[in-house]
Amino acid sequence: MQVDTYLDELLATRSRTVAAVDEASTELAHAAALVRDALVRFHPSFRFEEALAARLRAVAAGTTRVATIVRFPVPVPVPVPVPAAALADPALPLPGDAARASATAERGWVLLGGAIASGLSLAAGVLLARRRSRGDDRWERLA
Amino acid sequence: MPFDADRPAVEAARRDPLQFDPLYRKYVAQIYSFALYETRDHHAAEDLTEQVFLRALQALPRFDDRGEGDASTFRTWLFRIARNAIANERRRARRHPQAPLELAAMIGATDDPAAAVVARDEVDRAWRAIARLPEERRRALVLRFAEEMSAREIGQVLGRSEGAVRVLIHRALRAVSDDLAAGRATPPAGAPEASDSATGRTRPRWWRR
Repeated sequence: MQVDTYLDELLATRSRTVAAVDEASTELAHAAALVRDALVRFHPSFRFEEALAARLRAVAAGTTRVATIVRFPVPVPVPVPVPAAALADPALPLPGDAARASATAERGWVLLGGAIASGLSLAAGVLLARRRSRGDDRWERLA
Repeated sequence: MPFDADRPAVEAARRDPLQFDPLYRKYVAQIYSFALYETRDHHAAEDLTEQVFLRALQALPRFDDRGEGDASTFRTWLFRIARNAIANERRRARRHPQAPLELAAMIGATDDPAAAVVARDEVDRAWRAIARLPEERRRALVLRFAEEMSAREIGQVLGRSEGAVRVLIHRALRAVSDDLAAGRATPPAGAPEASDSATGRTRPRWWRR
């Protein structure tokens, strides 16, 4: 272990036996002593220390995670091999064309069904509003 | 390779992260104190302390006491993490400056009021002298006197040689001594002074560095 002998001498309280007093060293020793008294170690609050200890234990136990930025997963396009024959004759269907066609057709039917349902809902709402405006209280009596 | 008294505790924590607690208990005050001297804000010091120990816990499996080309102890490694965290906090704080704490006022007074006044005045003067030092010299003094690190350890934290650290500390003490001898309170060159409206005292804005 290396010892910082230079600064230890400056901070030493033992009296010097050297006849000639080095005034500069004395001033430096005084400054060092003052700095030593001024620079104390501050302690955190007990509450903070215990709270951080608990958090470190939780992280160590794997029960909680330190916040990390996770990139949103983006699907990587997978290249589809194309048969040489299809490349030669553009009229021939490519692999997956049939599946894509049926999926497209299904999406079309779903959209159409949704549009019809929305239209029926709107129509019912308009009809109810008109009857109420005419003073038709059958709906209130039903409620 | 320097002797590292923490090696058994580090090895235990590597095997079982739940054994990190003794290392944390040993160094939490040191890291907090270092952060408080650097930021002069106890909220920022608490945040930095939390960051340092979370990073240390995560990076412990990668900690190599052989260091980066030079032998390193767990303590100096922890303070290097703190130094980097403080540098990041400084960049953030430049955008959102806050009023610093008067740390000298936080040091407890003795039961003797008269002696307390004299002591407080001396400490205050020493604080002002230390505050006027360049950042590296001030940091070296804090690590030497508040954290009681050796010149070698300070060199490992600051990324300097042991000899350079000794020169740094000597020059810092010389500057403090000259400042105290002169008994003046002049602001550093190029830095505007902050005025305390309550007391009318002026304070140097060294924390903005």
